[in-house]
Amino acid sequence: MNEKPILSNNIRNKITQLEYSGLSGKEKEIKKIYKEATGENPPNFKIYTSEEMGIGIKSGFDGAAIHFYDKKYNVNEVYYVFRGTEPSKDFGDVIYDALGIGAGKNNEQINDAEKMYEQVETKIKGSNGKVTRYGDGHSLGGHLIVTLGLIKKNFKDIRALNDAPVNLKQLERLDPKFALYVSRREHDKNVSPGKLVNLANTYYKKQKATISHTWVKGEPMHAQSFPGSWYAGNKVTMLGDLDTEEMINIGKYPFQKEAKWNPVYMIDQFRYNLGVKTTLGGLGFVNDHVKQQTLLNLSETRDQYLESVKRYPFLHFGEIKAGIGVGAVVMVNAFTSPGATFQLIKGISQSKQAKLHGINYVVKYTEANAMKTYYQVFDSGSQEEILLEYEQMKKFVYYCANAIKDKVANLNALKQYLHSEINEVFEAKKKKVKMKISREEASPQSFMEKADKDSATLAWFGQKRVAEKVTFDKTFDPLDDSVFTPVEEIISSIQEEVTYYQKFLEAFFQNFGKMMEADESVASDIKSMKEVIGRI
Amino acid sequence: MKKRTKTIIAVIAGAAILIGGIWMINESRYPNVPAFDDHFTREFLNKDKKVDDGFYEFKSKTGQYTMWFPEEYQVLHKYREDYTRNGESYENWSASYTKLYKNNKLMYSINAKFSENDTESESIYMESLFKEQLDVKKPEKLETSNTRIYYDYAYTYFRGTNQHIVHDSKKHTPNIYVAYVADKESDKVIELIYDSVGENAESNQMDRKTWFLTMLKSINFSEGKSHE
Repeated sequence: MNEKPILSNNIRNKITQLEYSGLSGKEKEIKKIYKEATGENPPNFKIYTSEEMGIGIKSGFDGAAIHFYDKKYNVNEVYYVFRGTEPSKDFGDVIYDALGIGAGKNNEQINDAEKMYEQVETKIKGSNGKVTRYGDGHSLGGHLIVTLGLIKKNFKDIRALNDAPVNLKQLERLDPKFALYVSRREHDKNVSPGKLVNLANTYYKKQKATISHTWVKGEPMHAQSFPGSWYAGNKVTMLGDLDTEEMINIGKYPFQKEAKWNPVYMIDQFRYNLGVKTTLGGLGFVNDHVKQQTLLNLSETRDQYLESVKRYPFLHFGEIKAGIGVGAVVMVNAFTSPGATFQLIKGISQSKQAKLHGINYVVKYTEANAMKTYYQVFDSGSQEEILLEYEQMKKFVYYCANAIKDKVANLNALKQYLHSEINEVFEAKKKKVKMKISREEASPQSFMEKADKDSATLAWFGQKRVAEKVTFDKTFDPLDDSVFTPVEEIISSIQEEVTYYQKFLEAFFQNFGKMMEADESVASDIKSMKEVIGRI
Repeated sequence: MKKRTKTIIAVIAGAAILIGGIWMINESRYPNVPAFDDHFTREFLNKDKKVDDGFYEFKSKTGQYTMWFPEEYQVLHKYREDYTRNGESYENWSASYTKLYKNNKLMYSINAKFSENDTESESIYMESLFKEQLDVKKPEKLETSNTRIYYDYAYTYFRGTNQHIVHDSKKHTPNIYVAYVADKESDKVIELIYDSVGENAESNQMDRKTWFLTMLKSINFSEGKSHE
């Protein structure tokens, strides 16, 4: 079996893009994409589509699978490709569908994805050798392929593009094995979404290593969150202009810090959270009035649309009416809900970024190689996923290794100072004092004259005193603890730092190495890092 | 003024008593079992149809099937995702029931998924269900006049995140039952999974199997709505 997949990420993106017009009968196009990217003809392949199988008619699910099979060259790979919301729908629908606001419909789509998977697996069962499964999906399709991968647990690599997150409460209902795990751990069927995130991170540890996300910076989908939303996977590739501001997160109240102490914001947050469902649902309402703004060429049609409104206002009476309505709501909101108003204004100012959600931007930026890779780590303290940039993390690993080296050297020097140098200094001082004592003892008369100034006065009265002998106490008290304590404190603080860095490195190589097992290039990079660090 | 206040108080108290009375009379019309204590579960059940000892008739909101529902259970609805339906073609619900036994919390649950799977691919969907859930290829099969029922059971436990399945019922009393029930007249299918959690949750295997089969045999798909 070949180690590397037949299809590169670039080709997979283009096939996902092509899926929007259906992959049925698209052999020629796929061959062309492959040849353009590699200069060669692809191995033999067969396309299976949900449409041909009669799956997804009621749910709206649309997916395909391409099976590459060549016994001679030991090729046996299947690529599942799932489409997002239909391109004829606009962004409100996309969000509505992808975030699962119509949960029932969404569940049926996953059910259909499973049905298609079972059919394809039966059809390719006859091929010799072990089949390797890959998955790609954009937007809602990304959510579907990730959910399917978690349920089936046998994909080698899943790439989700500008995808909607997995909904863990939904997953609990759709993956009976996960439901069994949860109920046996918690003895409860109403486990909170927060707790489910923790359980899922443990239960799906192996699957997470096979899932990656590719997001265009500033596109709206990945910025959204809701209780129980979970971006399963360890790797995130950010595309496009990395300085683009992230979109507002409708599911998160914008003044959370202030709401902790300010009762106005506190009440507003409560109201805001209650209204989030309506706000998200409201995006669907916008659809009824703004039909021209299609997802795939939003930037162009937006200008055409505005031009059309200017020229033929009566044709757009419904939309203008809706616009006035929305404007009035904004005015009322401005006085009653600062949070919602902030989100609305911010959202309007970022409206141009909606187009970045389209698959065409994923294709464009991947081709231009405008990307940066991050790794997603679940922080059990904050209960949030944190994105770490791999190169930065790598730098930090080397920094830790060098810091350990430097700090251990400092530690040894301090310990040396503590155990011998302080005593050496003390002994030298003692010696000096003892020598002085000996000198004084040798000439008691001169010592007495120095020590007893009254003797001069007495001499004036004819009372001369003679010192025959001077004896000093030559014993010394041992060194006081206060001499050692500051040094010991410094030693213990440096020791703590060294332990921290050592633990970090240990955890990094143990956990991150394991997490990245599926990513061969990163895994080998980590291995060589370990060797380098071993030599430091 | 005082007199008016008294009148208002009397009217409010009277109204409260009246509303309370109506509510109590209304509530007393429902059977005194956990399933009817929950307003959401109640929406699915027919209070006048106690079909057998311990069961009431359950009618799906898709309108596509009815079945017997155990009276101790309540349909989960705390979270939006607990109950999902897409028109008449898909429905997924879970119900649970907990009890304390010798200071141990025992939990019983049912998950039912209604969908339309084409009959030609029945063996594919059915086999994958049993392979995934119980690691079984050929489940037991029985037929009623209207349905084909496939079912099997096992004992399952977790060590870490790894699920282990024991098929020997003599070693361990089964705590998971899986079924695939297909309508003979259409593509309608129900996948049903029952499981229990807790030490000594399952005391009598034969009783549990009979209880599970009772539910499966009670599934009655409505006519003529599947093919559109």
